[in-house]
Amino acid sequence: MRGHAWTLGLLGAGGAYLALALALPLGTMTRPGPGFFPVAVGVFLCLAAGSLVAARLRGSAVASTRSVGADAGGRVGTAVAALVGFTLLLPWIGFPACALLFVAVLLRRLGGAGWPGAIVTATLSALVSYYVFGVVLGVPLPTGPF
Amino acid sequence: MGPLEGLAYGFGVALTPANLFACFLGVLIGTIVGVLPGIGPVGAMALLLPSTFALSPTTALIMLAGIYYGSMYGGSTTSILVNVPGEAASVVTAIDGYQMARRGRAGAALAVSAVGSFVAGSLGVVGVMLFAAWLADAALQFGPPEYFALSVAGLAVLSRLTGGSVVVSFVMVGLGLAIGTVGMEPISGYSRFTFGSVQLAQGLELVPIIMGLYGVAEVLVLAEEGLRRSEIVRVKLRELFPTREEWRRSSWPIARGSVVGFVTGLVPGPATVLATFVAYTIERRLSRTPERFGSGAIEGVAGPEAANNGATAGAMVPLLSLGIPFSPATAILLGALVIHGIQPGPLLITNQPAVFWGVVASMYIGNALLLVLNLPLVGVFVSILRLPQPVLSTFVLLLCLVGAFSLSNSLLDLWVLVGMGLLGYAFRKLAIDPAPLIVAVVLGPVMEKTLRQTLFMAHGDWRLLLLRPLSLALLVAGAGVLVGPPLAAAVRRRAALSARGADAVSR
Repeated sequence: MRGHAWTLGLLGAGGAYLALALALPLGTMTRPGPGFFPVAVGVFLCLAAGSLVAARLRGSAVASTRSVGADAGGRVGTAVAALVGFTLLLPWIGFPACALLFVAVLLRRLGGAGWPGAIVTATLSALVSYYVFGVVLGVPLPTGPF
Repeated sequence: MGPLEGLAYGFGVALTPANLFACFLGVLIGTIVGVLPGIGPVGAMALLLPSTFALSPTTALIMLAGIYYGSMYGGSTTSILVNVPGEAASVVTAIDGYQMARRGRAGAALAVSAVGSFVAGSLGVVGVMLFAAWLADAALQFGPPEYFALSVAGLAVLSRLTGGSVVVSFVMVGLGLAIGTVGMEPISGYSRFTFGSVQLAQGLELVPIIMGLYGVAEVLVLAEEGLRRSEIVRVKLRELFPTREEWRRSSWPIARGSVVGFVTGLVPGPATVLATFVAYTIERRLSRTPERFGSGAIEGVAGPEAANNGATAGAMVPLLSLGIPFSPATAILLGALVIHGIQPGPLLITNQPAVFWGVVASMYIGNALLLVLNLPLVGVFVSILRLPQPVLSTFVLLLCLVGAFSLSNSLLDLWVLVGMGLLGYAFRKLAIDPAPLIVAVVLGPVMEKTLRQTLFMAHGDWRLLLLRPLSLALLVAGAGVLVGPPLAAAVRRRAALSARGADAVSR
């Protein structure tokens, strides 16, 4: 069943998109409205995803996943958590602090660096990236309360 | 402006200090990106797109194009020396290139690969110069039905040529088209799929989508694989000279690879990758000693390396002459044009001669710079591989985050980046190529606009698409590419079955 989940998920996403598209004004063939193209796309997506589900049920050549070991999964999980954490914290603590935490955690977890080395590298990276993007390139990076 | 006049004008543009530096920086970054497994040219171009906002459109495009074709040079270096292709278009080079390195001919393989890339790149630019201008003239006759048919045919061909199942590619196309409909509808300004969000009303930016699907996803895969150590073959400068026999064996494969690559580049799909496989197959078929292939045949390096560079030039033709990108890399170049307020399409050459001819001339300069950079500095580039992978991955992710945020200083772009990264990682695990999704995101709005214009023109009669010869021809060609191979396979199966039946009866 697990192998079918992603194809069913795609079909579900296609169905949800089509349902939302049908709520838009369709217009007429002479004057198509804002919903005309999305409905056509939704129907196409549902048909394609439906064919994929059917192919999967028949067991024909559709890709399948490789399993991930606990340690590898942990590294991926850390990277994803760091990305989500950065996005959540950016408006609150600002770019330099976010970049410092982000780099330190990833260097420690992915690269196996010790905390002192990770923190020194992270501090330098945060300062250099803030200088390059915030000062030189003029990107208005949030600075937070600091 | 004729091609020679245009080229002379282009050199005047490309040789200004700012553009020359942008070209150098582009090909240097391209080479580094090609050397490093993990971040490909598409991710790097998306990553650096925001840093080009302060540049003029011509300078920005020169730099981004430099990354694109420069990565093809760098990719071969690691294929030959480490048996680790820096990007997908160098996978074939590793087959014979690494075997040559093991036999002590790494220098010759690198030199032939660099010279082949230079020849193909330069010949490809001649093709762009002549073909793009001609196609742009012809495209002035295109109306909405032709543009719609071209987009449909392009997506059909892309779905067939992007490895794996056509149905999976169709799902990717559907997802891309759906993503392209988010935001304010361009004709009436109606908000679609925005759930009341003002930020979503602007639509989803292409760059975080590409950065997520390629850059973040690749880093997540590398994080899963953990640390990798590669054994690097050392090459001395004096070893970089192929023997006379090696030159003789390489010259025709380079010429054939250049043509095959350029033609493949014109076709929608993963042109650079496809071109290398086609060139390798051709060289093997034409060889009097095909058994040498796989154990260090220099033709197996020369042909594919010329082909992937020829393909990067070919892929520029539909972008510059029609304003339609058929690959994720050219989609980013199109994005750069739009961000800088330039309307892509057949009028680009007439209205923006500095952009068109400046980029064309910079490609000549870039190819020459790449030849100079890649041979003597090969050791320097390979030493980049000694950088610990986790450190590199961490900085790539940080650059992705800053790059996505800097597009419009919006947290929405960061969420799109993270979401697309997870989706891209899932695609990688399922061996699904996201290229059709990216191209569909770009072509979706074009398709919607031209379909609605077509229906308006024809008073609601969609058969207009079949009544105009060019749009009909494009739709038939797209359908032929989709249906042709399975139909041919079915006919072959049937013929084999009937032959077996006839055999059984005669016995």
